[in-house]
Amino acid sequence: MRFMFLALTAFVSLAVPRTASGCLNGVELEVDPEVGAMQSAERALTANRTLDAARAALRVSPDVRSFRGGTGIARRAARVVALAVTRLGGSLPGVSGFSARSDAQRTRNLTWAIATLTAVAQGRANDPVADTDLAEALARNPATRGEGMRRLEALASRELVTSAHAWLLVAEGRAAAQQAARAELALDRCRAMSRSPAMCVVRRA
Amino acid sequence: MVVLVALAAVARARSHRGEVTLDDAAHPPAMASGDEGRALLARFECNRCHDGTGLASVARERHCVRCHQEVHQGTFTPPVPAATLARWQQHIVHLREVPSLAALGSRLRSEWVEAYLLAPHALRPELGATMPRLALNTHDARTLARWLTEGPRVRASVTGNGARGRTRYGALGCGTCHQFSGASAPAAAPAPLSLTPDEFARARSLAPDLRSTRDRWIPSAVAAHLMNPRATVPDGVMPSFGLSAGDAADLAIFVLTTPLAPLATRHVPPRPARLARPVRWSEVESRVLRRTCWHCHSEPDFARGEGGVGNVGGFGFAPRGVNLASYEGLYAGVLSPTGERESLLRPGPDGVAPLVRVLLARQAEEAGARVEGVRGMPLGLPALAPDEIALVDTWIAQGARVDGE
Repeated sequence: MRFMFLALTAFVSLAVPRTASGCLNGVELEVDPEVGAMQSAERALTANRTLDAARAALRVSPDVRSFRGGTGIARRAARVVALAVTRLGGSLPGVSGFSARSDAQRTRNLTWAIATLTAVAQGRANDPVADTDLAEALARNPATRGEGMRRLEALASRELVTSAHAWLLVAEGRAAAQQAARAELALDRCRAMSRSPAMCVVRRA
Repeated sequence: MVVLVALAAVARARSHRGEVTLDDAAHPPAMASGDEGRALLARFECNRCHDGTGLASVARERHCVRCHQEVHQGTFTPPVPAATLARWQQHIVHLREVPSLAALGSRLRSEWVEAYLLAPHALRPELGATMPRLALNTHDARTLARWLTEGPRVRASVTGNGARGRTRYGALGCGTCHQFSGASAPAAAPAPLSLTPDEFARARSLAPDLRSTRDRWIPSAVAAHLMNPRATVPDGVMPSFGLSAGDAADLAIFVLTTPLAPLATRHVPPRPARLARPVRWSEVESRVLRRTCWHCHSEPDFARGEGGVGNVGGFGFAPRGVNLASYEGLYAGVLSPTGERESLLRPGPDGVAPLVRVLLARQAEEAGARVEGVRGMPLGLPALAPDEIALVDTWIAQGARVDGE
């Protein structure tokens, strides 16, 4: 009996790792296939596999066109597809409903992307991820570029830009304004946050 | 205050042929706090962790330990592959047990509960998790303490022989589960009980360090508890040893009056030195954020809206919007008390990033210090190891880079 208790004591004291393992997201990622698939789509987007990301998001939530606000997986899918549309100039080649053959279709897709990211941001007040995404979409659209750049600079001043793509836009804006040193700072942030730092090059207008 | 009351109680003790009497009179029942106490209990969501609050139970997703218990009991739903369950069981160490608050008034002193709520500290050495430092003021703490400990109580006293109690302490194997810091207690003998490994682990994890008993408990309740643990703690795990009234009284007097050596002073550890090697994001994510921080700082969209207390609020805390479940989320920072977003990564004037500052503050809290204006993280869990803090600090100092392709 004595041995049993001493052995148990030693086991409980020494054999168990002294760490906690986060749950919530961790559990949902494993028990809900949609959550796991959606996270994969987001990781593809972060890794600049933009078209793959959009396709993966649409497999989880095909009806993103009808997104008008909401939460959960639908919101995340809409965000991924809208950002993909934004970054690929208004067309997702080979993706039904998002493949544009004309400038008018591209414009329509870009307008949808801005509306969608606006709805996402409205549902996540004061969330820099949503604010950065929307600002990026606005900055990529000639009609709203000024507003988008103003929002991006406001986020950059507080170190709250949450994507490499957005930092690149900030760098381009600063370079266009002849602010070489500040543009280089933004490129540094772009390179830090990008899985493909080679993308962080200011394109000459 | 607590110390003074304890000293007064001891001073009132009478000694006769080695016997000591401790009177409950030094610890009158708490004054009723009425509806305000219950409202505070609901505001601070005590029922998310504790049973026995009198409040309705909460959903599993919002409960501190229920999910962990189900994983360890193998009753988790929806069913997951056995390998997954086994992996979770290996990972889940903390927050498997939380003491019940049922019938606290029959045993605990209101003034101690108040002080503990204001400055929580480790009571149960094997539990790991501690009561989190909530955002409550002195009035809140007093009102809550009164609500938790109010109720009818029979004034009594306990008379016993501490030397006999000490012998009994050794023979019963109390040290198998309990630590008794600073006491000259007999070495742990095997407890004369038949417990399954799970029962033993549970009992051991909830067993308090008996050093605190004289500050926490009403004297006569200690003896009553030793005689019939279920009478004082209806849903507790302390086993019954079938003690006579005399044996229980002797043991209680030993626990309540044996001299205690002062504990070694705990010093706030120095800030861990940054690492000389490159640190990758994936390492920070897997070793720190995912293991520990995700508990309370996760993505609501991935968890049916429950992003954890540190994101969507709870336990009386306002939402802080911290999402450490993704790289982008980490860059999104934290909502300040004034509602402004602030970076978790941008170093302050002292060169320390806010994310690192809260980790260091938890180390300080464990040493009994408090960093003004900073709540140590992880809240209510052991501080990260120095090498883990150094990992985060170094990664931020190296530019907080995501891993390249």
